[in-house]
Amino acid sequence: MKIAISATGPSLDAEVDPRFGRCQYFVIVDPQTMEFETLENSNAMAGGGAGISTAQMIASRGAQVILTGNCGPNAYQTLSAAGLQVISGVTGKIRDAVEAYKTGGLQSDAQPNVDSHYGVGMGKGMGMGRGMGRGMGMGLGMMPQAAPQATSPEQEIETLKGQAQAMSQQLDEILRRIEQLEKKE
Amino acid sequence: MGGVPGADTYAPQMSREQELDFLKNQSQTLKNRLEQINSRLKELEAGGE
Repeated sequence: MKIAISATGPSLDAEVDPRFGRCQYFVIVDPQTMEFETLENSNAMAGGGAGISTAQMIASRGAQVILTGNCGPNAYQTLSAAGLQVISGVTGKIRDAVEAYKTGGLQSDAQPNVDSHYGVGMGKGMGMGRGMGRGMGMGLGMMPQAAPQATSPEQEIETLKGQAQAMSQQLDEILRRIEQLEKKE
Repeated sequence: MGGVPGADTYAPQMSREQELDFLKNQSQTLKNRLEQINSRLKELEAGGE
């Protein structure tokens, strides 16, 4: 099992980066052995679609759980569709976050915890890019998701409308990309 | 899982076919979930639970 954590640096002693799509690094940890690998996030300075691209990249690395500070609707939907468990609101050092996860101190999210475009414009630029940032999440299947925790029908309607809008936007982006790929030959 | 910080900054490239397959699966998943959400919205807006 692997846990991917958004990080401000490439080590277990780095802090959890509050951004998911535009974090500087990911540290991917085996919680049993604490062995880890680091991944520079090529989407950190992306103009748009960073959440989706980053989510696809992480899904392709075989992680089953994401620990991060904040996760927007596009990234959340992509991660959920690839079968990954998302835990946001995580702070502190990477090492401590993994320990907290192992001891059951972190709960997975039933929905994104921030709006689209959270984190845009935050942080320092690195001035480099490795291209793409796409990945694949094959073979993991779907993870059942909990229903939104609304306390009244009005709140549930509002939550569902927000989710539907985010999903429609994501679907549009995916369909555009499919069209591009199919034209490419 | 090398454990060497900064040693792995490579993101694997997918083939066109793999990406198409991935995106088509994802779009179908999203369409299904949108249908479920819209169906629930109709229920709620009609005054049911």
